[in-house]
Amino acid sequence: MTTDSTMPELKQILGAMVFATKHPLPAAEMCRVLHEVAKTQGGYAAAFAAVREADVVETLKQLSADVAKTGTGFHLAEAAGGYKLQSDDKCAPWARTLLNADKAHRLSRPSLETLAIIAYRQPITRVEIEAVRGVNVDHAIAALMELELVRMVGRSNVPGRPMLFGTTKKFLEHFGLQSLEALPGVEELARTEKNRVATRPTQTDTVTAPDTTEAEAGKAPSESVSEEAQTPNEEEREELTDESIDEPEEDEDEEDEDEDEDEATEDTP
Amino acid sequence: MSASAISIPEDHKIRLEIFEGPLDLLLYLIKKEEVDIYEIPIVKISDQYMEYLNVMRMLDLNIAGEFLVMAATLMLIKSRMLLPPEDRPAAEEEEEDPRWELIRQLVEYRKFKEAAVFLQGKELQQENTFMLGSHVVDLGPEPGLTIDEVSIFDLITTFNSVLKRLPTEDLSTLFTASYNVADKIESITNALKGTGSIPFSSLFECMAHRQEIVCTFLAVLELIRMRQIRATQESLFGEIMIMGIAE
Repeated sequence: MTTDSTMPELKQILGAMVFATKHPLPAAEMCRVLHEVAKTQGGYAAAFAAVREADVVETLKQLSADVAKTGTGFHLAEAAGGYKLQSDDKCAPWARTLLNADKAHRLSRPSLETLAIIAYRQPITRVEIEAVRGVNVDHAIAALMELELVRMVGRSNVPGRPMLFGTTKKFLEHFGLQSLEALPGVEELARTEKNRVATRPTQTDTVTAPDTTEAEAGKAPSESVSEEAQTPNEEEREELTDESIDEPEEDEDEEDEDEDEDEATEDTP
Repeated sequence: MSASAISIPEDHKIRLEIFEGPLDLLLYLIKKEEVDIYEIPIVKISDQYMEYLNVMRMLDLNIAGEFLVMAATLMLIKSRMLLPPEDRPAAEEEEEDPRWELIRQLVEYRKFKEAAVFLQGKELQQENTFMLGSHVVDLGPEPGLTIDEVSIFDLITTFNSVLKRLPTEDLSTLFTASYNVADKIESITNALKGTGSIPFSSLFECMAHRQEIVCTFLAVLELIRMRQIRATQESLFGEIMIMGIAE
């Protein structure tokens, strides 16, 4: 590996950025980065403190010509308001096949369904998810957590203090969603009094365990769940604290095993 | 279909994990029978449900316990529906339709299934957009792959109808004929070599023994699980095609 002792030119820096970016990169953004690095790191980088957007655009044109000339199979493209490297159309069949071979990270339908339930109803417990799907979701949740599409966002206040799940930023990225509001029919499917875990109507209930959803009676459908599901429904949930992260989860799971859908109506253990 | 013993050859007691649950099956049946979900003909649906359940158990598939719970629930609902109104227990919740809770659950779940389809579309779109720039249109849905993969219930439907067409088996053949899943895996793999795709049902042509049909079916499931073959349907409830997946 050659270590180039000469400092990079602007064209190379821009090339590196366009290469590294996940999303189309606007010229203005590249400019901003140049200025920031100039400020925070100084030294050689300070040379780019005064670069203007027009300069960036111009240099990118040169970069584009270079790439095209050397016949690399990809080119510099402008799309969605930014620049990015894109494979040549004539090479598409190979690129596609490569992508398809990578199908591994596409989700299965059962996983997608579990994920949809979590996305719309977060924060939500495992039991509540199962009430909707009618089947055990341990496997699905584990897989989704490993893919970092889902995470624990707190604990419910009912006996057993089961974990609450919500979606992550990565979830939004993976599906190209701007926010949770981009999910169709959010108001309809979101967590409301009506669609709490199906239990017998609790008119006279002796149960003391606060029904996790009681607090929601009269609460408007929670479509305003922020991306990181930061605010699980107030009093009934606890914010994720550092302690809870370290808490061994095995006990909690075991307690859950014994509880079924009727957990809210069980007598306190 | 009688539950006469079909011994699954010891060499292949696959415990295929079935991730679908009873609600999936019910929704499948509702769609297949083209009934109104709000007016589920409970007798018809629960009979169908039991039929599928029996097939799955016969094949020793690893199904969720919830399937049995749902079977019991369906029985209960059915019995309630059959009681004349005046005989229904007074304690019954607000005289509601005994099917109501189930319908509510199914309707809700179905909405999430639609949401899942939406997410899947977005996922695909992201994939294409992400890697291949803005040419989403060009590199859209891959040619050949139409609706998504076939579900276990679709496969069972075909399997079931093949079994039904069988004439009653001569008892003697139960002992002489001997098939096993491993062999079938091999023969199916060979049959697919070179050809693009073949109809799933064609695998069972000329088969006269139940055991052979069962082994063939299990072989297909196993091959799918091992991702060596893929099953697709051009249209809803249409002919299922299977094809090899290139290495």
